[in-house]
Amino acid sequence: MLSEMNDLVSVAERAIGESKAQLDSDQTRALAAQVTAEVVAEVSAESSAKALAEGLQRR
Amino acid sequence: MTERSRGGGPSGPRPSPDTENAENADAPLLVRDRLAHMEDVDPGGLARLFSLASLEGEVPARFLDALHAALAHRTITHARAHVPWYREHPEYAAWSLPQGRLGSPSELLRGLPVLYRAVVAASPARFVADDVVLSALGHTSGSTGTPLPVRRSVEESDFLAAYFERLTAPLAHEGPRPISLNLPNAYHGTPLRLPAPGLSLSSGVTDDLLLGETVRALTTRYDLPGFRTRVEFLSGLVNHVLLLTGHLMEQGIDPRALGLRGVSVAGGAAAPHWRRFLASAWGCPVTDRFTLTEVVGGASRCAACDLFHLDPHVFGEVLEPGSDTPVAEGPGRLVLTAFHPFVQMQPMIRYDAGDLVLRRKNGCRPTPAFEFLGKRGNAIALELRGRRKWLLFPAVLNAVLAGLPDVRAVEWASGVRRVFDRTLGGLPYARTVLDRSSSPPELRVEVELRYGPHFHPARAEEVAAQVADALRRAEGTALAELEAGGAVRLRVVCRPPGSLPEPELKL
Repeated sequence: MLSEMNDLVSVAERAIGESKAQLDSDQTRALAAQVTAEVVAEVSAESSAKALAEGLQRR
Repeated sequence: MTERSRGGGPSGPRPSPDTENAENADAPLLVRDRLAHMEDVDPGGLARLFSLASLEGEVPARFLDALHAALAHRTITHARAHVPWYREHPEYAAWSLPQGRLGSPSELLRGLPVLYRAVVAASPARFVADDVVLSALGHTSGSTGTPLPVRRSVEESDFLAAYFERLTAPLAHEGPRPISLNLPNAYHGTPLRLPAPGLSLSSGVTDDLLLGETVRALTTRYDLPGFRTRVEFLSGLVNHVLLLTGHLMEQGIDPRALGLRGVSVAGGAAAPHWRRFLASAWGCPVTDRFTLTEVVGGASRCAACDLFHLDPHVFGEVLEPGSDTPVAEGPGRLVLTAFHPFVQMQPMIRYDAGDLVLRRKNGCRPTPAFEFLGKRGNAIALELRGRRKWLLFPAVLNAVLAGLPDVRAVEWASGVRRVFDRTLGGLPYARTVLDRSSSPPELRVEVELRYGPHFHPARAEEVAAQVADALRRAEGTALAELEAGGAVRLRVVCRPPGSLPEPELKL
């Protein structure tokens, strides 16, 4: 499961031009924060993760 | 197609630029086809794929479409195999790949029935998958009808935790981790726990004790190794956050002085007036969130275009009410699909929760952009020559009333004695009706003021005029046009306090 998915990730990274070296770049960090911020459901007791991540990406 | 483009790994001889361009052009389709048929989906890998697909540009947008198509295929296949309602439904039984191959997500879903809450509520057991184990039982709040049970499995809870942990990984190694304060609510049963990249505190505002604790949590300096010293992020239902903000100000505490870096509100339509108020009061960005209990995910209001954008892992369609016709721009019903493996035990495919939205083309991200208009049952339309003409959307009315301090609001926090103004965040008292017996039909909007309109007639007239003007200018309605043509008449009437019934719980 993992290696097959890793293959797909490599394909996507290559096509988009995003390398693993950029994984922790500001852009990716901001994106992670943004995506995380936007997926926390109303039902979650941890919905503060959303506010937190939104704020982090704006730093 | 070369071996390399089939995902053979990044090593090996470098292809020519032309070959590479061709491979990259095929890459989204390759990912789509392999992801659709993969036995199990690794949550970390999928998180990475969605992160990449959320980047700006045409290629990421094609990947997003590919991910949606692959997950739509997985979702339909799983539901047909493991969920009685889908398995036995004739449209699902007859479903096959369009032209024998994976197409776009819209093509895959087209023709499948739109699912309504009443259908699920009538026989919830028939929507339960037989291949997973129950972990949590939640429910919708019941504010718009009978609460709908929402089952979550062990498998999807584990998947979601791993997925979000991977998404937040880039944030987890940045020195002292932030502290956030959440005002959870118990309207949805057992909460679904998701990992947060910091320390999450919980409190509330619904009684004096909780409110005092919340103020203490916000004003305390913490000494927790590895964490920052103050609460920096706040989230909760919009009426809870408003009440807390008002209380702080009543107590002479300037919320700006607390130094928050983000406030997040959900669980109701946050009128523009209140969003601006919160941003100004706290001096930090305010995130407005549109969510459904039935679907893990929803939409966030975009700081750039001020519209809601769906989360990348949720698929949304905007359709004409009463038909399957897609709406490219304008009012329509929001129909959402929660993808497997994000939702496993109670799949929601093409789910219509009764929300009307205004679909806009000018979104700044690939996911659909929309403005929330309110519940369809609370909107008013007129059928003219067989065509529906929208006259009033509840969220538009709420938006204008929220900005008028004359309008009386529900004292929703009447039991919280420490707060002086217990109406903050309460819906305004108003009633709308379309009187078809008059000629022409009259759209009557009654608005309850905090004072008798006869004591301040000039001001009451001003309020009525402002409301009427906002309704006539509302995007997506035909009110002004129909009024000009004599086909309908708008009348806004101000009423004294206590004269109207309690407003609907939701817009």
